[in-house]
Amino acid sequence: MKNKTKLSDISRVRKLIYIIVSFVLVLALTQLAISHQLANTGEEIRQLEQETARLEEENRALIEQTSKLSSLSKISLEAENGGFLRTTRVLHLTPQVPVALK
Amino acid sequence: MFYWQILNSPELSAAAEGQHWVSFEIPARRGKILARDGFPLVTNEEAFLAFASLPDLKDKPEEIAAQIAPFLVSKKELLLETEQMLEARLKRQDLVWVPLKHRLSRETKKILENLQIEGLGFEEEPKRSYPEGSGAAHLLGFVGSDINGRDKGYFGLEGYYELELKGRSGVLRREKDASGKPILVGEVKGEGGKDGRSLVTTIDRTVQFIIEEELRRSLKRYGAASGLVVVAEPGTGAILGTVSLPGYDPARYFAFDKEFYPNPVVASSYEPGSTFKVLVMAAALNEGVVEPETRCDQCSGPRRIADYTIRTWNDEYHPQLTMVEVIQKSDNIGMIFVAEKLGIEKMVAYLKKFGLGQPAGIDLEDETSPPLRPANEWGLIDLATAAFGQGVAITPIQMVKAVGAIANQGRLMKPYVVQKVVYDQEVIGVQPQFERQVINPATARLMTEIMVNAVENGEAKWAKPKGFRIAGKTGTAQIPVAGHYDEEKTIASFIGFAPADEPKFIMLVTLREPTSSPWGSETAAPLWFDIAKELFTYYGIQPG
Repeated sequence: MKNKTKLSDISRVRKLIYIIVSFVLVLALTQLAISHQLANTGEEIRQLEQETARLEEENRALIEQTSKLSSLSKISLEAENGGFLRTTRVLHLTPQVPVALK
Repeated sequence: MFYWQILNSPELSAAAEGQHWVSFEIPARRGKILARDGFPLVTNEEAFLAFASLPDLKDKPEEIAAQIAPFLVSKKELLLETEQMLEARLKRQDLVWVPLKHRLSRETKKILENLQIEGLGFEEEPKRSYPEGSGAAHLLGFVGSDINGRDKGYFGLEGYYELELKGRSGVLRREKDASGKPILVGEVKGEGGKDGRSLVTTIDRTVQFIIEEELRRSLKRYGAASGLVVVAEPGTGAILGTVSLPGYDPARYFAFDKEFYPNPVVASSYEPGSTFKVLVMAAALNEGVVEPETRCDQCSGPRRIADYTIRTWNDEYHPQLTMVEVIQKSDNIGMIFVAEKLGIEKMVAYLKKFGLGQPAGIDLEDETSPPLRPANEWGLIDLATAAFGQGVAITPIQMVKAVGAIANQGRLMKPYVVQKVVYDQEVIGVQPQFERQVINPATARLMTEIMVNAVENGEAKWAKPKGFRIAGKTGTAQIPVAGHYDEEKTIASFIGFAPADEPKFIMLVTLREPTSSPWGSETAAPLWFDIAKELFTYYGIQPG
C-alpha cells in the first residue's frame, strides 16, 4: 500500500517536472520566436524608413523640377525657341462690341 | 566590482550608451520664399555633404584624395589644388570627422558611392535654388555660412527673416540591436526639430519678370551704368516687384564682389532731382500757400541766392507760369517760388511727414535712411535747391512711399514685401500699415491732376501710351562728386502711378549715368511707359 502511494507520488513529481520543463521550453521557444519576429520587424521598419526617405526626396526633386520647368523665364525661353514673338500692338476691345445696325 | 561600478562607471556607461543607442540629426529644412501666387522664388534643392570618418578609413589618404578629387572640381586647373586640400584634411590627426565637399549633387554623390571607399559618408545638406533665376537677387538676399559653418541668410528677405526661415534641427535617439537595427519595442527619445517657416511675399512674378526684362534691355539701349525699378500697390504699400541691375547670382554669391550685395532700392541714396518737385508742390498746395492757378512772378530769369545763380534745366524762362505749368515744364525757378512761399519750417515738417529722414520701414535687411537736417540748419540756398530735388538725399523706396501717399489720397502706407509667414497649418498674416495722413484727399486729387498734365504735356509726352491717364514726373539729377556736381553724369528717373484715378500701381524707374541722353524724359520715362504698357495688358486696364 505504502509502495503504491510512493510510486504515485513519484509519478506526480515526474509529471510536474515534465510540465515545468515543457513550460520552460515553450516559453523559450516563444521568446525565440518573438525575438526573431522583433528582429524582422526592426529590419522592416528600417526598410520602410528608407523607403519613406527615398520617396520624400523624390517628391522634393519633382517639385523642384516642376518649379524650374514652369518658371516664367523658362516658359519665355521656350516660347522664343518655338518662334513666338513679343506683342508689338495691343488691341483693346470695349465692353460693348460695336455692331453695325444696317 | 568597485572599480567597474564606481570608478569606471562613467566611461562604461558611455560605452554602453553608444552600443545600444543610435542618434540621428534631423536637419531643419530652410523655409521657402514664395511669390504671391504661391510659386517658389526660393526653394531648397537636394544636395549632400561628403565627409570622412578618419578612424574608419582603410585606404591611404593620398589614394583616396586622388580617387575622389576629379569628381569634386569644375575646372581641371583646380585638380591638383583640390587633391592637396583633400589629402591634408584626410591626414588630420586631431579630428575623427572631416568635411570634404559641401553641396554635392545627387549624381556626384552616386559616383562617389560607387567608388566604395570605406569611411566616406554623406549627409543631406540642401542648397538654395532659384527657379525664376537671379533677377530678384537683391530682394531675396542669399544664404551663406556663419562663423560655425552653419547656414545663415544675408541681405534682403533671407537676412531680414533669418529667424523665421532657418528653423531648428532636431535629434532622434532610438535603441538599436547588436546589428544596428532599431528595436521595435525599444525606447525612442527625441528633441523635436522644426523646419523653417515659409514666406509668402507680395511679389507678383509676372510683374517681376516684366521689369527684369525691360530694365535689362534698357540698360543696353540707353548705355546706363546701372538702374532700378520698383513697382508697388499705392493703396497698401505692397511691393509687386523690384529689380536692380547689375545684380549678382545668389546661388554663386561668393563669385561676386561684396559691393553688389546691398539692395540699391533700400540701401542707396540719391538726389532725386525734379521728381522731388511733386512732394514740395503737394506740401505747398496742402498748406494753401499756392493754388494751381497761382502765377510765379519771379520766373522771368535766373535767380541769384547767396553766391549761387540758379537756372532752369534748359535755360529758358517763362514769366507768370502757373503752378500747373511749373510742374509741366519742370521749372526750377518756379519751384523756388513755391518753396519760399512754404518756408523752411513747413518744408522740413512736410518732408518728415512724407517719411524723409527715417527708414521707410520695409522688411528688407539692408535699409538705410539718409539724415534730414533739422530746420534750424537750413539756409535759403538749401530751401531753394531742395525745391527741385538737389541737396537732399533719399532712398528709392522712400521716394516710392512718399509719392505713393499722393496716389493714395494723401495716406502714407508702410511698404512691405512679406504678406504671410506660413508653417504647416499655422499662418501669420501681415496687414497693410497706414502711417499717417500727409496731405488731405482734395490736395492729393489736385496734385494727381497736375502730374497727369505733366505727363500729357511735358517733355516725355512723346513716349506716353495713348488713351491712358497716367500721373507722373520726370527727373534728371546731377550726381554730387567730392563737393561739387559732376558736369556730365546724371541720374535719370521717372516716378508715376496709373491709372491716375484709381491707381493699380506706382512705379519708380531710375537709370544711373545713361549715355544715350542725360535726360529722364528721354531714358527713364520711355522705360517707365514701356513697362506700364505691359502692366496695362497684364492687369486688363483699358484706355480711356
